[in-house]
Amino acid sequence: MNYEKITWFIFWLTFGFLILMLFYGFSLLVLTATSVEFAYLLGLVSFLILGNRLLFGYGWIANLLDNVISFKQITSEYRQKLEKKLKDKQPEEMIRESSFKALLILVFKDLDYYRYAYYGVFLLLVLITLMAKFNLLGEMVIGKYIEGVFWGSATAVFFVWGLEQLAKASFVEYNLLNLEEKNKNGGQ
Amino acid sequence: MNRVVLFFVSSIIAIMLGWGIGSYITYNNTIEAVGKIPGSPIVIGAVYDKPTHAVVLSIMNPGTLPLTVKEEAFTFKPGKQSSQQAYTVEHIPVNIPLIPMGITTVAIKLKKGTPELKTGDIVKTTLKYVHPLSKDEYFVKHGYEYGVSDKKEGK
Repeated sequence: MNYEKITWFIFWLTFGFLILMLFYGFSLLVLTATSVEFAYLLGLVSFLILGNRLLFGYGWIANLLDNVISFKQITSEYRQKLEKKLKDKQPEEMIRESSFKALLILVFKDLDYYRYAYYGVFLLLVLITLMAKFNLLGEMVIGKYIEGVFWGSATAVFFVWGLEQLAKASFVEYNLLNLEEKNKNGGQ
Repeated sequence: MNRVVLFFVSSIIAIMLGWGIGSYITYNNTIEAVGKIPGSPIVIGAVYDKPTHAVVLSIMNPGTLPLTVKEEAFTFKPGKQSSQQAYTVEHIPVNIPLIPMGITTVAIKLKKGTPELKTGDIVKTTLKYVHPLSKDEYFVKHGYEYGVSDKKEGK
């Protein structure tokens, strides 16, 4: 009997059921939503899709650094993950010769463009919302729906912002640990 | 900012964000629900205006939907001091929109040349109104006694 396999099977079954319930709940939410709630959901979903790369990028870094910080060592497994992530974006030699810290900074730098675009779009939406709220665009019927889209996007931006700060705080904590890299050149 | 501080800061932001979203949705749903309640008009004041020879009614619409007065009927009951048996009404305004959550004044002009109202004269006005949600007709009756109703309102 392979207990590990059985455990994983049960885990995936539960996880799949959870996802199914999530979709069920979400579709119920959309079906029963009033117009105002629908505007909120629209903003939430569109900004989650827009910030998808940032959410998963910063989440990935935070998760990786959490492992490094809790085990207090940089194993080749983590380094390989970073190398795989940067494979098509940087020259191979540069990846091989850079330190773990330098590779992390490169990943951060890659996400910066998306971060600026994302916050820029959000800022634009905030400005439009404020203008609609203070009737600077004339009397608008859709003003309250713009506000709903704003609240939805603010929820998504909050998650992106939180994960970004978490990744950066983790990076600072990792820096303060001052870890020695054991296998610098990628191999075993 | 270390990760523990970040946890508390983001919790506070999350609470404020949830507060904003909740109040936004609740506010708009409440406005929508309240906006669908039709009110019935209330005549809050009636005054006889001597210079224009007219009975002026102040009608309040407490609801959020606009109501329309389709017809007004006017009956006169002479008091003891009055020699006049009946009044002809010169102008009865019809199709008056009553503004939502506000007071509309309506003047019923009495025919020129007829004597003024005396104390004890009763003017009864019946308003027939409709509201936009149904085709039904509703009535409001208001009795106004000259000299008596005025004093009561003066209190």
